[in-house]
Parts: sequence; C-alpha cells; structure tokens
Amino acid sequence: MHKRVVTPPQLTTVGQAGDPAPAPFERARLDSGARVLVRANRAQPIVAVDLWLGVGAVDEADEHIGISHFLEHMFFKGTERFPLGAMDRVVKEMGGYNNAATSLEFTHYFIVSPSEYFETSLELLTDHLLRPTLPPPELERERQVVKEEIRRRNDSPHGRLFTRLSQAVFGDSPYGREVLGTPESLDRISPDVMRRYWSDHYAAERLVVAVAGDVDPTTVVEQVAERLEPLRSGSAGGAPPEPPPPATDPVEDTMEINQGYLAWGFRTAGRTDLDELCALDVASTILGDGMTSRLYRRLIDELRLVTSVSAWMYPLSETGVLGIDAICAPDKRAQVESEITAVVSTAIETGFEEEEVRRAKAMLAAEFAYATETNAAVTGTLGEHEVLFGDAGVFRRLLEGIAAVTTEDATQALAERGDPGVAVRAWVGPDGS
Amino acid sequence: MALDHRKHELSGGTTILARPLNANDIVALYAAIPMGSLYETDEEAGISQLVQSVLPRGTAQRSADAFQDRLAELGAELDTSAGTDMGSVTLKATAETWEPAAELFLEALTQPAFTEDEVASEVEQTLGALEAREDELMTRALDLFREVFYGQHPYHKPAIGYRETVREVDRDQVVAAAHRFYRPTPPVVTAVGRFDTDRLLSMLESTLGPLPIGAPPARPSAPEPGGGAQRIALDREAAYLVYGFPAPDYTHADYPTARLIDAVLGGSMSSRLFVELREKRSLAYQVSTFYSDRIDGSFLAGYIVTDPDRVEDAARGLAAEFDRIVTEPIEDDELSAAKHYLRGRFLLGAETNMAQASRLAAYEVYGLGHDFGDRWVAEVQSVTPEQVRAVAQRWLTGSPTCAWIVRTGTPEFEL
Repeated sequence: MHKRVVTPPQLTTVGQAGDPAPAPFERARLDSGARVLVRANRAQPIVAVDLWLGVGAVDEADEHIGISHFLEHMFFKGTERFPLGAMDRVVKEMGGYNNAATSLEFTHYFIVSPSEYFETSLELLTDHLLRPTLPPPELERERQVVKEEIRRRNDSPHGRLFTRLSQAVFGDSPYGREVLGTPESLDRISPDVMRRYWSDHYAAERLVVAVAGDVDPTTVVEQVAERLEPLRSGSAGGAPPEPPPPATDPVEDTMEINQGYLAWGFRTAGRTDLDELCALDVASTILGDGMTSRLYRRLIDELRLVTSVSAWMYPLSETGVLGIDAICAPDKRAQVESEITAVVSTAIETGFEEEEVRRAKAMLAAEFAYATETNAAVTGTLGEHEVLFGDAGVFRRLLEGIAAVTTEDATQALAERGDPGVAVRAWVGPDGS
Repeated sequence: MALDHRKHELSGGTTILARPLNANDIVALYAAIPMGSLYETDEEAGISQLVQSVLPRGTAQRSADAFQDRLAELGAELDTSAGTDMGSVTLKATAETWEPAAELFLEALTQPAFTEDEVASEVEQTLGALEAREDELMTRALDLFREVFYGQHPYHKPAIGYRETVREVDRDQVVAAAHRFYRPTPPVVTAVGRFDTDRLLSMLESTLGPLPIGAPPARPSAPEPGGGAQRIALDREAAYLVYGFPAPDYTHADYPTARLIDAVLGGSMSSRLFVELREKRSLAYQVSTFYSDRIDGSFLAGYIVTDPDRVEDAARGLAAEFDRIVTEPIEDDELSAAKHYLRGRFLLGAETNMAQASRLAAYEVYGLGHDFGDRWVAEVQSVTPEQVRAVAQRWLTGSPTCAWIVRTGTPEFEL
C-alpha cells in the first residue's frame, strides 16, 4: 500500500496528577481534523476504544428522520475485509463486547476488551467507519429490526412518555425528533440515501476517537493516525434553528397500563450558558435527586402520593430541558401536579438553603467520580464532552462551576427557567385516564 | 484474575475479606446476608425486600432525614437489596470520606430504627412500584416464567412480593424478619478500594465484633421444576416470550459447559439467537438468553420481544435454537469463540471495586471458595464439542417452561 509521510501528531496533556479523573489525559488533533483522546489506566489489562461522531437526529432531513440511528445499525453489516458478522465474531473471540448508541446530537461505537486486543479493536472500528459495505439486502432486513425497536420503545410507558415530552417541549424542531424515526420515515430511506448520508456525515471534523485503559498514549495516537489516514474531510454540523414555542396544552397518551406517568419540561439555555447549566444542575439535584430531595420528601415521605419522583437536566447545544417526572396512581394526577407546583414555587419564592446547596454539590462531585470508574465510562465522558462542547476538558470547568454555585445562583436559575406556570406537560396513563 | 485479599474473622464470627487497591479513589463495602424469597413463606412474600428498603431510613442515632442528609454530604451512596437467596447492604464512598461513610453503613447494619412511619411509607411505595412493575412487560414476562418454572417452590415469588402480602406488612413483622435474617449481624463483609485495612478492621471489630452471626437459616430443599406454559393476553404493541429449561448449578460438574452453551446461544451480537432471529429474520430488536445461575434451582432461558402478529414464528425460532444445540455438533470455531468470550467477560465483569466486592462476598456466602470464578473459567477452556452436546442433551431435552405475553386473541399453538 502506498504510504504518505505524515507529521507525527502532537500530544497535549490536559490536566495534571491530582485532578479529578478522567484528567489527566492526552489530546491530539490529526492533520485531517479528527481528534484523539487517551487516558492511560494500568490498573487492569482492559481497554475501551470508542468512536464518537457529532452526528445525530438533529442533522437529518425531515423526510429521513431516524437515518442516523439506522446508519448506526448498518455500521455493523460488514466491510470488504470484515464481511457480515465478522466484527461480532472477532469481538466475541477477544472476549470483549461491542455496542453503539445514537442520540439527537451524537453517535458512538465502542469495543471493550482485554488490552492485548487494542489494535484489533481499533482496526475493526475504523474499517467499519471508513469502508462500510451497507449491503442493500441487509438494509431491508435491518429496517424491520429498527421497526421492532420502535415497537418495544412505544410499548414502554417511560419510552412513550419521553417521546411525548420532547415533542411537546420542542414541537416540530429537530430537537423534538424521535431518534428512532417512524416506520414511514424509515421506509423512505433507500440504499443510496443511506450511503450519501454516511459519506456526507462520517467525516474528520465530526470524529473523536477516545481510548482508555492499559495502553501507551503515544502509540495509540500514532496507530489511530495511521488507521484514519483515508478519512475524508467534511463540514462539521451546525446547530438547528431555534425551536418554535413549546406546547401550551398538556400532551396526553393512553395504553393498557396500571399507573400514570407524568413529566414536566422547561426549556433552558442548554450548553450556551455554562453558569446556568451548573446552577440548574444544583437546583435540580436539590429538587429531585434521591431521598434527600425536596420532591422526594414532600411527595413520597410526607404525602405518600407517588411511587417515584425525580428532577434532571438534559442540555442540548442551544437549548435544553430541565425535567421533572413521577409515577403515580392515575386518579392522583391533579394532586401530584399541584404538589409539584407547590414544591417548585416555594423553592423559587423562599430560595434554597445553604446546607442543601452544599449537599447537592457534594452529591454531584461524587456522582461524577463514581461514573468514571470503568474505562468505558471514561471514554464515554471524554468523547461526549469533546463532541458536544468541543473540549473534553470542559468537565473540569463544569465541576469548578458547580463548586462555585451559590444559593442565590441556584434559586435565580430555577426562577428564570422553572416557573410551574410555563411547564410543558406530558402524561401517559391507562385507557380512560 | 484472582481477587487477592486478606481474610479475617471478627470475634462474633463475621468473615471479613479486605482487598486494598490503589487503582482509583473509590472504596466499596459489601455486606451479604442470606435472605430473600427462598426464606419467605408465600404469605410473607416481599418481607426481605421491605426489611432492606427500610434499613437505611433512620437509626437509633439519627432520623431518616438526618441519616440520608449525612450520606449525601459525604457524597456516599448506600444501597440495599434482597433477591432470591441473598441480600446486600453496599456502600460506595471516596478515599477521602470512607471512614465517616463507613460509620453510617455500620450504624444502619447494627442499629436500624425501623420506625412505624418509615415502614408504612415503604409499604405504600412498594405497592405503587408493584403496579408500575406490571406495566413493564419484559419484567412481567420473567416474573411469569419464574411462577411457572418453580411452581410451589419458594423461588417462584418475585423478590418484591405481591400486593396482597405487602399490603399487610407492619412494623412488628419487619423487625421480626430483620432479626431472623440478620441474627443479628451479617456473616460476610467485603471491602475493595483505597482504605487502610487496620483502620477498617478496627471499625468493624468495634461495631460488628461483639455481635454473633447466629445460626444460618435452614435452606429449603432444592426445587424440582417440571416445565409448563402460561400466557397473559394484553392489548399492547409488542409480545414478550420467555422459553427455558433447568440448568446446572454452580457446583455441578456440567456448570462450565452450560455456561458455554449460554454463550453460544445468547452471548454477544454473534450469538445464535441474535444472528438467526434478529439478523437473518428480523423478528426482534431484543433477543438473548438469561442464565439464572445459583447454588440450586438454576435455569437457562431465551427471550424475545417481537411483533404480536409473529409470535408463533418467534416462539418456534427460540425453540429451534435450543433444539439445534442438542441435535447438531458444534463447530470448533464457534466453541473456541465462546470460550474466549467467557474468559474476557469474566475479566471485564470485575472492573469496578463494587463488582469485585460483590463477587468476593457471593463466593464466600455460598462456600464456593474465593477462586471459584477462576476455576470454572479455566475448566471451560478444555470443554469438547462432545461434552457440549452431552450436556445439552442432559439439560435441554425435558419439558420446557414457556411464559408468553401476547395480544388478546392470539391463537393457541403447540411447540
């Protein structure tokens, strides 16, 4: 094979010893624009290799919704060198596991294995990235598998609830899309459409290769650079236009179930405002993360009104969601909503307390530490932050930002975003509820 | 990968397995208690799980709120569970906060308050969870499978219990059950991570040390599953099928070979069920196997979530793959891949400190020996195609157990 002379990629160390994991890690930008992140971890002979692409449902054309996720399925259908089924067989022989995931804003593919198989993992993933065969007969078969995946999701009350909530919060904006698509949109995806989507989107600017485990960072970066040599350049995706105003009426759905599932959503500034993001992380933790939270204490401990209740954040590029969800007996819906209103309104009116803010910060810092214990979790954290924020090291800024949140910051952010009067509401309950 | 550790015995008899590690800043503690549906009568189904869920809701020293607030301040996570024959109390903390966090862990183990109010609240929440559990049909299908498979044996019950039994539980029952299971202290505690062993042992000795571990509860005899079929008809979008057979227990000579059979049928995206039913026939997105391995009453089941109009195809497809491993010899390549797969997954399965603590605890409680995992994984490597077929013939040719959740009006069919 013809080999060009390439400049060895420059590694930069992000962070230093003593920083919260997964810092310190190594970062390099290849000539093509693709980025490589490596965290060495010699504790066990294990390695995770994770390809992250800034490609997701927001990048899709209206008529082909679901194509990013469909392509993720087709990725596994072989290359010339590794025909259909070979990747899964090789991974099994390595004693590893492989999988992938697609969201509104990213797609990623990973293999976790004993570290002696690092090169094989890298070769498998990069070959499928660069040279997938996307065979038409497999496309037909896999279309049906994705329809089965949609069926399974629609059959879960939670799955249906979150589909309804994001439609209500983001309307017909790309942010309101169902990542899996619909049976109709899937039917419109021909082999040509699929191949074009792959060649337009799986390009250097959108790609991040994250590796963690028992490896040498310099060698990893060199090998990645060599494997990715044929990678073409392409443009990075832009953020979708601002979504239309959210739904004002509750969005409701029924199915043959026992309980009621309700969710509230509030639009946020997403990743454009890190201060707000940190303040709302603290506020949502105080409101609805675990047994110390205000919603838990009021709705479960005091009133025994719900089976579960939680509050959470889902930041997107230029918008996002502050969410609350609960499971209750169907006839308790009105009471549950009025109690959630009371808890949130009281927090806004009288403010959070110093002590609960301190506690929430400790919980968030510890949760982050626990969530980066495995190599797969490390490549997940590094890759996701690099793809979404353009900087894997941003997690340090977020941790510092959270540590700096004051009671006023948390209260004010909640007041600005979480007014119960503007909550977008979704409900999935039994037939007739 | 041998999990090297130091073994100690407290004066009351509790076994401590300590594995200090400096790989990360996390400390995992794991207390194992023989409890769960095996040790419950049908009338008290769910009592083990209630004991466990009320346990961290207040102690003699602190109210439930104060206890939980303190844990949160330390960034520590305390979880409890009860399953079929073992319960756990676990703590995850950082190297910085593990000592005060371990004090809370020990406080919950030795002085749980079990107040009337907390018990009533937990009963209420469990009743709601039981309703929600029925809404998730994969869980419901597995529950149905266990009911059919185990028949009258105590294992048939879901660990969470039933509405009728949970509804009746009061504080006295929870306290009595806690005494019965804890008698009064856990027989095994394991620790993995960045801690000082001497310091840990002295904390454990001063709290658990004075408490005897008591006589272990009598273990009911092992189940004798007979197979059978049941269906639930619902108007939902998907159908859920579970199909399985008895399988060798941990200590059975056939165990390593049965794990290989499981890996061939359902392990990974190159497994037979995945390739035949998903990749080739597009019958499902979710299809795999489930080896419920334990010291008695183990089973191996295949499951599939499918189109309600294609239920019969899916069921026949599952049955055909179980049949094929009985009737056709396995190729060397496929067998070798499954061997590597099991070795690798065993290594990857112990990546976190908590996973190691849990593995050490289970091996100790069940008396399997701390190197049990390494031993069966090593035995797997020498299994022959003939052994695979012989073990498949021994275990997968009796009456299967079938649990179907299908659409109303789905015609009956025989496999």
